Formats: sequence, C-alpha cells, structure tokens
Amino acid sequence: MTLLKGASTAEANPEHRPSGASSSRDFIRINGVGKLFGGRGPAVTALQDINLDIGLGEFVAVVGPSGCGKSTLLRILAGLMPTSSGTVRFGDRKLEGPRHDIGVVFQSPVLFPWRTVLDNVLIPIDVQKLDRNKYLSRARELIDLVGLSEFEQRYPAELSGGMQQRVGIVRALVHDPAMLLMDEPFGALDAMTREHMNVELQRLWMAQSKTILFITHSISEAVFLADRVVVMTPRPGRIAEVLDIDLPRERTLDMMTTPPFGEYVRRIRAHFGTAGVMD
Amino acid sequence: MPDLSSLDTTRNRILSLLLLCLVLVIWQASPFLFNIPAFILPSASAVAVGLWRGLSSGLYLYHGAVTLFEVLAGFALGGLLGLALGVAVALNRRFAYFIYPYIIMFQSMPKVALAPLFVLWFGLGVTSKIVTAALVAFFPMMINTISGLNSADKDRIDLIRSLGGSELQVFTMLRLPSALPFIMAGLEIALALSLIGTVVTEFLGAESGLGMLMQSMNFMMDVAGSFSILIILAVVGLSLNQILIMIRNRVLFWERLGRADPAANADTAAAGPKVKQTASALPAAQK
Repeated sequence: MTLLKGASTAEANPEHRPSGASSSRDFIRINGVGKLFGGRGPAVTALQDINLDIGLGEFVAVVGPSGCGKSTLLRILAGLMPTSSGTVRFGDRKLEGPRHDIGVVFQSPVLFPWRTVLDNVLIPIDVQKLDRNKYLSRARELIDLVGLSEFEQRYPAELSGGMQQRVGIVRALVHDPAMLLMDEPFGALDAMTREHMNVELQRLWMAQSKTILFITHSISEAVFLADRVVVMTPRPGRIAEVLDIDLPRERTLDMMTTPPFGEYVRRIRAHFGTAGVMD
Repeated sequence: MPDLSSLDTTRNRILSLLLLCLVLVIWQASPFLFNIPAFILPSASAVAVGLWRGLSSGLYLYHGAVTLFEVLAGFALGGLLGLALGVAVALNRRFAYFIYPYIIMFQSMPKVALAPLFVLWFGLGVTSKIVTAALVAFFPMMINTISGLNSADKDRIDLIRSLGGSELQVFTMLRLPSALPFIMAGLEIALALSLIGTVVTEFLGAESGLGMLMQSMNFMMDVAGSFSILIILAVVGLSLNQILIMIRNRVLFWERLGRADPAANADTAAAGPKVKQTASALPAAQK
C-alpha cells in the first residue's frame, strides 16, 4: 500500500515523471465543465462539474464505463462540441472551437479508403493547407516509427486492423500538435494486438513528448499507459478520483503482473463495484 | 449479381455453350413442333437472316446511331442536371425544403407517361427522345447523389472538423469521394432508363431510330425483323453497361482492394465497421 500514499488526489506531486515535462499543470484547465443533452423529453446530464488540470507533456488516461461521459469530454476538448457550463482553457486562451494544434485518434482508424497510407497521414496537412513538401519527411519518419514504411503507398483495405490504427495514430501526430486526444483507440483490437499497441504508444509518447488525453474502458490499459488516471462514474458523468500512477518508465508488459500494478487496478475497480462493466 | 467466378471453368464454359445450342435448336424447331405460325414466333434462322439483312444494308447502323445519340445525349443531360441538383439539395437545407415536394410528386409519377406529351411539344425529331431520356435519367442520379453525399462517415467528418477544416473541405475531401459509389450506381440505373425512355418515345412517333424501325416492322408483320432489332437493343444496352462498369472499376479502385489478400481482410474485420460498399448493395433509386 505504500505505493499509493502519494497518489491519492489530483494535486499529488508529479515530479517523478521521467518524461521531462513541465511540472506545472496549467497547460489545460478544465473548470467546472458540465454538459446537458436536450432534445425532446428531459435533459440528460452527460457531464457534471468536471475540474481537471493537465500539464504539458503529461499522459492522462480517463477510465470509466459506457455512459460516464468520457467521450463527451473528449469531444469538448477537441472543439467539436460546446460546453453547457464551465470553461476549458488551453494555455491562456479559452477553447472556442477546433484548434490547429490538436490531434484526435478515434476508436476506429477513420482512414479514407481512397487515399494511400502516406496520403492518409497527410490529411491534417491538407486540411490546414500547410506545405506538403515540408511535412513529407516528417510523415515518412512517423510511418517508419510504427513500422509501416513498406506500406506507405498501400491503401487502408490492404492493411490489418492494428496497422490501420497505427496509421490513425501517426496521422494525429503529423502536424506536430501539442496535444493528442485518443478516444478508446484500441477498443476494437484483439487483446494481443492491443497490448502490443500499448507498448508502441508509450514508446511513441516518450519519443514525441506530447500531452495525451487517453480515453479507455480498460483499467489495466489506463494504469499501464498513464501518469495519472482519471476515474469517471456515470449518471451523471463526474470525476470520482484522480490517481497518480507511480510506476517507472519505460513500463513493460511484465509490470502488469506485479503487486503495485495490481493494487492500482484494484483501487480503480473499487469505484465500479461488481457491475462487471470493466475488464 | 452473385459472384459466380468460381464456377467459370473450361468444363462449365463448354456446358454453357451446349446449353445455348440447345436453346437455339428448340427455338428453331418450335414453329414446326408446336405448330406456331411464323408471324407469332419466327424461327431462329429467320431472325438471323433478318439481322444479317439489316446489318449488311446499313439500315440498322443508321437507325442505331440515331438511337444511340438520343440515349447518350439524354443520359448526359439528365445525369448532369441530376448531379447538380443533388449537390444543391445536399448542400443547402433551405433549397431542399422548397424543392422536395416537387421531387416527391414527380418521383411517384411514371415518367415515361410524359413521353406522348413530349412528342406533341417537341415533334418527331430527336429532341422529344432526348428530353424523355433526360427526364428518366435525372431522378435516379439526383436521388443517389443526395444519399451519397449524406453517406459520409460521421467520424471522418469529425476528423476534418477537429483539424479546423471548413465545410467546403468536408465536401471536397470527404463527401464527394464518399458519394462516388452511389453516383456510379445512379449512372448505371440512369443509363438503363435512358435507353428505355428513348425507345418508348420512338415507338410513339419518330422519323428514325431503332424503336421507330421496330414499330414499322410490326405493322408490316415482319416479326423476325422486330426480333432482330430486340437483339441489337440488347447488345447496345449491354455494351453501354459494360463501359460504365469499366469506368466504375477505375474510379472506385479502392473497393476492389484487399480482396486478393484474405488474411489481411480477416484482420480488418476485427477493427470495427467496414467502410466498403458495392454498388449493387446500395439503397439506390427506384428501378
């Protein structure tokens, strides 16, 4: 239990992080954010009073069962959806719509089947009307980083599910965004591929030093990847606990069977009772 | 069409050819076997002779060229208008609101029923045929364009928007290519309908064209000649359709990818909803 001593609240000291990120947590400030879904009938509270600060270079995982509003939170941060109350600040600017320095990874790879792997990775460059030539070498490096150099000129239909998701991830990185928003990116993959992708994502994060908000319904995935795990509970969606994960980097799959790892998992699972919503 | 390519062996080809011979033999013999008079069902050889006569004299070539011109002109006109109006409806909700009642009204009407009016208005020349062909080609094109443009995947739209992309970029980068399978399916339907519209209008009154030729042969009890024109029409329809399929395979190249590698495909299936669509599976417009 000693491991968990300093890991109880969001305000715990993050100095132990080896990523070299700034220790201040004022890169993103989510302040009293709530979200109501109206329409006909009574309004549904998807999010209630969400307060969370994220530091530059930090890896934050949000874990919770379906309906806890975690995807809503991500859509708000991506600028795809307005808040009903509260504010989100990026640095010193209030978030008012999509930003050019954010990369989003969705649950499915969201590739364009008529574009090659390379052209899919370059979508952010095309959308933001940046100079393709300037980013071509970066795109190729990223594709190489996830081991897909040989598939650069192939089309998505010729790739396996894991390969497609890797394309989706490096695409989110190509325009060198400050932040990555990942919405259950490995949810559709089989368990083996998923573990492999987790290792790869950690490697990518350590090499690229991005701020990542990672949404998942897998507790072990959250503990394995994150500096901090935000536990959310449903109806209404709110934060139940923010937990610092004090495990050394670079983490290995073997660590998942160690007692400290199991302790974190147990502690998070306690929030969800025996509903069996989590794996 | 179901995929029958696995049955396409040499043995089956020979069997298929034998079946054709059998059909022709029965056809040839049936006037004698069942005592059917030649002005009801001409024998296969009589039709072949009629076909040869029409082709060698250049008669079918001339009238065929007229019909083909009417079909293609009507198809191009109706197709382009359908595409343009479909884009306008899909892009502008206000425009869609005001135009929809008319679309629904016209859609439930059998369009070829307007052909007699068009002959009255535009005369016996090519114009009345082109207008009919354009009208019947217009609707499937417009409706498929609308559903195609609205078929763009929600996550893909979000991806472009999350990068700060404009609605115009969503349209050009995503909606248009997403609509292509629907548009190609619409073209196939429109082309088939154009041919029907043209021939029917030629029946009603024309100076030239295969439909008019067939009508006059019917009046002269030249049933073998009528049959031979039916064969020409079938060949024309089939050829036009084959050309479109070739174009579709080029345009929609990504739909044919990955099939050669079943291993990669099986893996993809685990990665959530597939984005593949084939034209035949589309909720296309009414036939």
